[in-house]
Amino acid sequence: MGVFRRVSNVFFRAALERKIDAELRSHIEMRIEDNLAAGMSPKEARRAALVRFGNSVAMKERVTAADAALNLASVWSDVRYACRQLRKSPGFAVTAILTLALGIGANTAIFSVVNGVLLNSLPFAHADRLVWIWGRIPSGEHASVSGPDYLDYRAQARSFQKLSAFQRSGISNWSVNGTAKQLQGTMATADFFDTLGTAPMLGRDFAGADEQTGQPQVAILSYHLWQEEFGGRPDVIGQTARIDGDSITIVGVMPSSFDFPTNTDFWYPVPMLSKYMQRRVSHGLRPVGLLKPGTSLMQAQQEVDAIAGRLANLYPTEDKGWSIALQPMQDALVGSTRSVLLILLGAVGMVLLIACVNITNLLLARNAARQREIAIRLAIGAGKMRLLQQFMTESLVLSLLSGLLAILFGYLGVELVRRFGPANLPRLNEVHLNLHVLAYTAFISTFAAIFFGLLPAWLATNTAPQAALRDDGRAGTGRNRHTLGSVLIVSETTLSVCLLIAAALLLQSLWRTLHTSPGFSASGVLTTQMVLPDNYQDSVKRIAFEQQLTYKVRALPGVETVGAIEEIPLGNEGNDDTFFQILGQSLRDPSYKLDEDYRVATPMYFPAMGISLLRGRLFNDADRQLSQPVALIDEPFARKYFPHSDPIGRHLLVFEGTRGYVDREIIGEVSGVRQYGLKILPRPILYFPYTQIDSNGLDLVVRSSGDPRMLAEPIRQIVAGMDAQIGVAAFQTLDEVISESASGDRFDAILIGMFAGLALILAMAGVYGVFSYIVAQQTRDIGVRIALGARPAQILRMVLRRGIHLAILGSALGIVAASFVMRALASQLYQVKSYDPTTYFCSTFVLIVVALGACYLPARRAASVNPVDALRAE
Amino acid sequence: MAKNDLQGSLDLLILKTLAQMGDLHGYGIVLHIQRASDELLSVEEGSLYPALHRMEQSGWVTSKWALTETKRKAKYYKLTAVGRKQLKDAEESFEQLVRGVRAMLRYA
Repeated sequence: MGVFRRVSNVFFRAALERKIDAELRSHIEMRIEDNLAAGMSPKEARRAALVRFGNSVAMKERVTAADAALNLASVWSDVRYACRQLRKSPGFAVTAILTLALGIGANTAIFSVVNGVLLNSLPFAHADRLVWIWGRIPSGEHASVSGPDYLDYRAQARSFQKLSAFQRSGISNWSVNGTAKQLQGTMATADFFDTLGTAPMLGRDFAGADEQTGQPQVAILSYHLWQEEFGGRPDVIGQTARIDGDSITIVGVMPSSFDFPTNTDFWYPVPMLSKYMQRRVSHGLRPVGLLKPGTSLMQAQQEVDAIAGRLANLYPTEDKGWSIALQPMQDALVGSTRSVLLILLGAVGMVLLIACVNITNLLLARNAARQREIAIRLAIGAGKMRLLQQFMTESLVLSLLSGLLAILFGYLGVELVRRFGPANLPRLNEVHLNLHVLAYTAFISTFAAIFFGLLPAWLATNTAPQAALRDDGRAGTGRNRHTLGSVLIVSETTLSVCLLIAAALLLQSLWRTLHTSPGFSASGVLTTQMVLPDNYQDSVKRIAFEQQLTYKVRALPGVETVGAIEEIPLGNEGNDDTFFQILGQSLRDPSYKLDEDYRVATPMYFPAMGISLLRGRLFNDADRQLSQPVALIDEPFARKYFPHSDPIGRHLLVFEGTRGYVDREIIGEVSGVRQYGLKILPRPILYFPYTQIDSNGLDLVVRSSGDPRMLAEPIRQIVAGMDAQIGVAAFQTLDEVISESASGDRFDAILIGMFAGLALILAMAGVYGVFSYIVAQQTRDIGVRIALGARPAQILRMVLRRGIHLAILGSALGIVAASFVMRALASQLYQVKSYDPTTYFCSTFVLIVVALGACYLPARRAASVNPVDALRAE
Repeated sequence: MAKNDLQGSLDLLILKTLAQMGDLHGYGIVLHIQRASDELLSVEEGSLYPALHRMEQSGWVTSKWALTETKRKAKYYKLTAVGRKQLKDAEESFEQLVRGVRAMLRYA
């Protein structure tokens, strides 16, 4: 009953108040009657009755309060009151809501990314039991695992419910009905999809028998390839396609939700009987395991360590020192992005704090104007808690309205990130505004309301009413307000300086990254990737193809040089199992196989890339298939192996798979290139001539005098004219390759830069607001000073000096804070120290100039105060 | 009633009044307490009505509008079973309090 009445009271408050009125009135009238009966005059009788009630408004309020639900009811009326207040001052409302919405929106967007990339579990069944498995080489670096090793682990390890593996096979030529296309293929073991908990939506999964071949026979398509190539027709199952010239049968289609490894167009079974997979030294597979329920990562690691020990005993030449390392799948896939994303989240949080400080300042100014209203309400008996509740409701309404707008901003932000996010940010396609994100938005909106609203509300309700009423509302409260204003300015400048420094460091790092010499000259060079089908295994045919292609492309207008290499620099991932001994030096431990890369290049590759010859000679036409085998080394190689001697003319014994050891003469030394990324120092490379070693990769490098992009179509036609089975992968200029390899750095720098810009604008608005208010408050004082003979220039200087003091104090605190915070950034910086003094100095300088600019207008206003007007206005 | 009235004694007085007098309006409660206490206790209206409404919300009393002897409309309060129980508890604890204070005062 009680509950029902309480709730109904909420909605019928007016009726309730009428009833209370009637009850009190009848009481008063009965008292008057008795007073009259006792012989008082009617006037006296009435007065005596009323006096006993004291403040009737306050009392009615308290009676209503007793009728409970009061909190609910008053919240609703507070909300309506708050909305009315906001409507009454639209300028304030719009400024505050926009400021907050920007801050909250930016946080929403960044949190969506954090949520999608870091927090959400991977889109696989049993994601928590999935482990990523690295091959561990003797030097401790990560690598892949060879086929026979993988099979031994799979057969012996009991910790896993499933132990599958995959290997990205690079670009393959795919053709259906005669038209070639370059697609991304992935080799996968039979239980790969099962391990990841996803079955084909159409057709069948790979079976164990599919692995037991030397040549893949079947393939499973990705959803998008099925849609694009086969129009989503179900009769695709059983059709044949050609991959690099070999025909395979399509047996299944994966659902659209499955995209692993990212951007795979089709999967085919690992051909376990192929020569490559049978070699214990060919490390290419990346295993993925599903732990048995209840098995810990550590138990599994101990077990595989024991297996690694047994393998090393059985196959000492191949496996000595090798092992595998387990890592939770989520860590392996997104772990590297964690620090960057957390830095972004921190930065955007700072922006929100600055926005909140601005709102605090606006509220303080507004409450000062309402001081009298508040004082009167306190004087007639409004409870402090009640008023506090009302002020906080106003703040909450403000920030929840901002939150709604922020969802829109956040949505736009997420779209931007998805469109322009860096290629190396994993799971970008899983970034959405979902319920988690909305809950976060609601949370930070509420938090913001408390953060910016509590102080003004507390101050407003803790003013002695008499003081506020006696005061003319201008002079008296000034001192406190000024201190507060100073605190606000200092905190804003502190946060802004931090963000400015972070942005400046990242931008500098980006600039240095982009201006690092990659070891080649990029402008005017077009590249493309090709893979030759298996029917080019015959060297004569392969060499003839390359020479003819080079000749034809060379003849195109504008082309200066045409070279080719197995794999162009910067994007390299893989490694290989080449091993060599240097004749005349002590034997190298065969377990250190992965130190150096080897690349197969044509003679003109070096001039086309702008890689310079340091000594000796480049390859030339005399280096034929059957002439003396030769090799080029690069500068890092020479520095490592021939630090004090001339390498030219020395001989290497290079292990070349089926051909065994080949004696190669070093004929020259070229400059080093950064093949693994701009920020990674050049690693030693051995170059072999295209004529002397098998390679199915063929990346063309074409230097031209004109716009290299114009060559793309003619080259595509040349290739199609020579062999329709060979597709050509996307053309890229070397400038684009460089730019893409720095896309992650650029993304970080741009985002932090945007946040810093936003922070600077907000801080500027804040400084301007505080000073405008202070000057308005001090109009009378300033008027008096001018009347007493102060010159406008002195007044101007006085205000500016105050501004500069606060900005310097804020910057100093900011620098101290930054020197701690920027350590988190250190790992992201390239050739810039996290405590780079120039950056700190410049950022601080920018901020002080901006702060001065922001208080210049109010200072001008102060200087132009007309003393007569100022004093008369009081 | 004195400002420093003992916590909860107002409730006790109101409940007791209703128990002794049956249905009564607020003004009647004020008069009865004054009369029954030999003018020693005087209830302030400012405390009475919030207390009455609170007790009604707690289900100790119910109320209905009725006419007084002088044909004036007034709100009459009536003790409920819950209220009676509450009164018993309040009386007991008050007795305890009085005994305790008295013992305290007598302590030499």
